[in-house]
Parts: sequence; structure tokens; C-alpha cells
Amino acid sequence: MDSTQLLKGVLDLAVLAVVEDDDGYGYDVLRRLRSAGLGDVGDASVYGTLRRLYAAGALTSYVVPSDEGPHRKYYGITPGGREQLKRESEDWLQFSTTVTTLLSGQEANA
Amino acid sequence: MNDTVKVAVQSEVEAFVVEVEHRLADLSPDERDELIGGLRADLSERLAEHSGPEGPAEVLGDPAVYAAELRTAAGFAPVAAERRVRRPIAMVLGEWLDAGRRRWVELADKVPGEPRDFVESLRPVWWVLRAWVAWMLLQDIAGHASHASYDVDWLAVLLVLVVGSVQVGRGAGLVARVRGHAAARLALIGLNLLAICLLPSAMDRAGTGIAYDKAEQWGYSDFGSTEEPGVGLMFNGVELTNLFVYDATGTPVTGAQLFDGAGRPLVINEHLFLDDYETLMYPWLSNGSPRFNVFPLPVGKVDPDTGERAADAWDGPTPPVLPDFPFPTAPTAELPELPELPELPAR
Repeated sequence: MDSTQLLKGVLDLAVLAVVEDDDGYGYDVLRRLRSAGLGDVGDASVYGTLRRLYAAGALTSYVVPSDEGPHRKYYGITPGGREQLKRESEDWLQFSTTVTTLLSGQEANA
Repeated sequence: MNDTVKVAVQSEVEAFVVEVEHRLADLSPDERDELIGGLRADLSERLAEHSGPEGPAEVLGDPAVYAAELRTAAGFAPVAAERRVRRPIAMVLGEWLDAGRRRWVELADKVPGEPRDFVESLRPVWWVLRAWVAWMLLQDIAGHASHASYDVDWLAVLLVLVVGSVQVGRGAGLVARVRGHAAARLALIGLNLLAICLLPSAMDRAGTGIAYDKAEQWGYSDFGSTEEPGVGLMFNGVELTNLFVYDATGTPVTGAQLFDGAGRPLVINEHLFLDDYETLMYPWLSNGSPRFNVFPLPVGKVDPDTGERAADAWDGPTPPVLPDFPFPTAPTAELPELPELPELPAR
């Protein structure tokens, strides 16, 4: 199955998860997602998701000037974002458990 | 990364970001800043980390695809809504003309045998031809309606028109200044179309002019006595080439002169040929002037050299002959009582 299709549904959740403990800038967030195993995620999708979550109030952002190059824009999670993360994590766990149970039942019958 | 490479990467990133930003033009400045802010740093870092053989442009990919992905992920429509921009009408016209030309070239190139190259090599011929059409039009305006004048003044006008037309065709001289302007292009198309429309009548007029010159050579001073050249006696919509007159007793009449009530001669179209295209009617003569209203008209061959009436036809080996009447005698015709003829003034 094309994992990018699956990823679309949970990208908000994944992005919120990787900035839960540490603020991060766009490329940093992308790197964290990839090192977590989401290698197919596109950078524009991640940057767009960050901006959308920010616009929805789930993230806060601040600019860090750089001496070497362009300024970096950092994103941190807001209380609203934490709530969204908690709620969507539960949804995902429930959903994935259901699907896993269904699949393992199929395997046992096979 | 050394400084030179860093500068090159920066400019690639900058160009890419500008392209992406261009595709966010429909968003508000805040939304745009939110999407673009930090993008330079993110992309620069991504390029700096990239270790493969691809160049920066290949790593960054297509900015249109990137912008669409960015917009979708951020919750906007993938492509900016097309904004209706008010463009100058000349630009729209110019593009329209370009598109028409491209379409025409595509169509022409589909025909085998490279006909476009052939036609384009004939362009100078058209430049001269349209000048000649313009010359005929000027003659018409100047009152030479029935025939073209070939005197020195008019030939000088023709020369000027040919030079002008060729300069327009070459896009040289004054024309170079307005070349490419939509209005100038439209005007040129209009003039060319007009020239094409006028070409047949110009050809016809030139032919009449030449025939007129020949007629003068024969001494037929009032050649073309018909009011409109090419129009003569008709029956059931068909032009007649000859008439045969019988008197009331049914006897054929040779040399009957026909006039209408206003005294105008009833003539045939003297330019009509019989079916073989070598035979036509020769006029009777009245004090040396040709009369095409005297019937039956003699029938004779054209001069094989000129394709026109032979000037010396009556002296040649095969002079024109009077055609046979359709029947030797016609039925007699009578009125109950012969009316008294009105007294006429002597002609």
C-alpha cells in the first residue's frame, strides 16, 4: 500500500508528536519525521502542515536570526496543540488497534 | 561547504522561493509570509545536507509541484485561482494573431511536399500583384472605370505603389517602426484581403483595357458602344449572339437595324464567342463605325495571333460570312387592319 496516502491522514498527528518535547524549524521537523521512519514524507507537505497547524492555533512560531544564512522559523506546540495531539493519538490508537485486530483475525483464518 | 558553493546554492534557493511565491499570489500577505517565512533556511539546509550527484535545481525539483504540495498541506487550493487581469487589447490581439499564424503553419506543414515553402517563395510576386490591384483601384477612383490607362503618369504611379508594397512586404523603411504592432498587422491583413477580393475585377479591367487599345488600332473609334461592356441582348436569361428578322410576308430581311423606343441601338454582347472560341460576330459598318445592332451579324474567325477580331478580316482568305437563316421563310403575319404609320422625322 502507498504509505503516502496513509500519511496524509495522520501527518498533523505526526508533526505535533515530533514537536511535543522540543521546538523545531521546518527542516528539523522533517528530519525528525524521517529518522522516525517516515521516509516518504515530502518537505512541502511538512512545511504546509506546520503553517496550517500554526494558523489553527495548534502551534506557535518564532523567528531565530542566523548569522550564516536566512532566518529560521521555529515552531512550538501550544496547549491547544497538546490537546489535539492527545485526542488524535487516542483516535489513532483505537483505529490502528481495530485494524490490527481485524488483520490478525484474517491471518488466523487464512 | 565552501563560500562559492554556498553563494550558488543561495541563488538557486532564492530563485526557487521566488517561483513558489509567485504561485501564492492569490493569498493574503500574512498567509504568504507564513508559508514562505523560513522556507529559504529549510531549503538551504536540505541542499547542504544533500550528498548525491544531483545539482541544486534537481534536488529542489519543480517549483510548481512544490507550491501545489505546500498549498494543499496548508489547506489552500493546490493552484492559485486564475485572476482576470486586464491586459491591453493590443497584446490580446497580438497573441490572437500569433495563435492564428501558428495554427495556419501547423495545418500547412501537415500537407506533404512542403507547400508552405513554395508559397512563401512566391511572396514577392504577391507584393507586385497587390500593388497592381491598388493601381487599378486608383484608376477606378480617378474615373478610368471601363478600362485601364497605361500612360507614363500612371506607370509612374504603378512604380511608386510597387516600391511601397515591396517595402511593406520586406518590413523595411517606415514600416519597420510599426512592424509587430497589432493594429499594423490587422491593417495589413485587411488590405491583403481587400486586394485578394479586388483581384478578379482588376484582371477583368486590364483585359478590357488591352482590347480597347487593339480596337483603336483597327480604327473602331466607338468600340464598346454597349453601355456596359459584356452586356447585350438577352433572351430567357441567355445572351444572344445573333438575330434573324423576317418581314410580315415571312421573307428573310438582311441588314435589319434594331433600336428601342428611346432610339438606343439594340446590340449583342460583342465579346461573345461561339462554342469553338474562335468564331465571333463581326459588326456591320456605318460610315466606318462598327454597328452590332444590324442583323444578322456576319460570323468570322478571330485572328489566331491576337485571339481578337482580325482587323483585315474582310480582305483575308476567309472573310466573315452571313449565317444561314433558321428557315427559308417564316409564316406570314398580319393585323386585322394595317394601321396608319405615324409620320417620322427624317433620320
